[in-house]
Amino acid sequence: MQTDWSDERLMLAYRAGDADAFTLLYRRHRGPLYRYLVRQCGDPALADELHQEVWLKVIKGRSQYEPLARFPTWLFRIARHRLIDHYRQHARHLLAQYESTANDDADEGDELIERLPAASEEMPHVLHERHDTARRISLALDELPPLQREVFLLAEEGGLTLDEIAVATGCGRETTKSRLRYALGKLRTSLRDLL
Amino acid sequence: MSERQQDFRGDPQVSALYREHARDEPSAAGDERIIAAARAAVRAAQTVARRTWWQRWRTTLALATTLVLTLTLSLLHERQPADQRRETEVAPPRSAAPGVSPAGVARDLAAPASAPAAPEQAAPAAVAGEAVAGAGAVASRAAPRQPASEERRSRQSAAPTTGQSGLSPAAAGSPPQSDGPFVDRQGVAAVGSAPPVAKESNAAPAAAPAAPTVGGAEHEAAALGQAPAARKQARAVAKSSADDGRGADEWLEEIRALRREGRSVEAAQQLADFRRAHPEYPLPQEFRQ
Repeated sequence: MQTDWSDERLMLAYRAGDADAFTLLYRRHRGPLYRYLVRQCGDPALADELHQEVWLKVIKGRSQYEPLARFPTWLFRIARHRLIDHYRQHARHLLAQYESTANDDADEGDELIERLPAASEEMPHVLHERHDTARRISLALDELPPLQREVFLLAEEGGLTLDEIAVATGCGRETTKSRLRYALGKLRTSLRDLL
Repeated sequence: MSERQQDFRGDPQVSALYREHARDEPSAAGDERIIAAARAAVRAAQTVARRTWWQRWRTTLALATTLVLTLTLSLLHERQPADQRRETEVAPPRSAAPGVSPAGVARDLAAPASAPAAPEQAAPAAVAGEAVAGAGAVASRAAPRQPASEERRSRQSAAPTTGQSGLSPAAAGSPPQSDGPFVDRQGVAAVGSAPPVAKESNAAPAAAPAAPTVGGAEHEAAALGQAPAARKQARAVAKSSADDGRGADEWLEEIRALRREGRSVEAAQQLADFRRAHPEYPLPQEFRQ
């Protein structure tokens, strides 16, 4: 039945008035989207709020939805825009990094990635999460530069291809590929003893 | 994912480790709020979609209908000739009783509740006045549906044409007269003494005594202390009855005929009536002197 339907078909069904289709779609993507948000903003409460806002945007924008791209691409693009809005209000230094790298080529992106600040290890919640593997992974992700972390999360949580990540983030394909390579390399280094 | 692996190998070990320990979930309360919002949005859309054609457009249709009706009535009112409009507003029963004195009609309209004239005052009426009153009685008999009260009023209205325009307050309080014998007597007298009204040769003399009543009706309305609206109605009736249904050209032609016959006094009187009835009509050169 509907459980076999693709995301796009479920979204079209919801646009036509099938609320159960939305429930199914939500169940599929609630976890990945939430993890993307919580890893990016670092605050579970704020991530929960942003998560609701993103889904409300999906609900409001259902009448304009067209299956021109995969549903996760559309969903994570909305989430990314909502994050940028959040940065615009509360973390302008991160916003400047997001905006300045929008049209960079691969080399410039790599240089910027090297200069991005890592998450502080002295943050209380980071210190508290070091006790188990999940906490270790979370810490490793927090240590990644935001743009590298974003590409990694879009690939892992959203299941987006390089081209889809490039579209969602507004960057070139090579820049995306470079960021993902750097992110994986740093994670491997940080989690070497767990692999 | 497979496509990503095709063009970028990635790191399967890191990916597997991450997925194995990625357990963060949104709160259950957040889930409920989002799903409830999604269902509410669908219900709201279905409510709007269920509204019938009539429910969606009834306000617009009502406004459009009102607008069309208003415009139609306005256009019809504007296109109606001015004289016809006045007649419609006043609505005198001229066709039903052509012999009724115009001044009497004006009196009817101006003072429908005025007291009936005393029999002593109606008795010394002039012959011409009796003729007019008699014609009115004949007309009232010719109209079988006319009620007795209207008959009495038309009979009473004949009195002012005979010089009884100034009703004293004492007369207003005098007792009303019984209908039957008076009507019959007046009707018989009129039939016996009055010249035939239908003859064209007598039409002009018959109209002559009625002419002074054109302004007289208005003066009577003013003298009786009637409202300006009643005076206006009386003036409209006087004017419409002064031209006696003739067109302006026809009337002028009659005045020319009177002049040719040497009846200059009557011609001047007719011309004065014409000017009152058609104040805006451009007079020919011969009548401007």
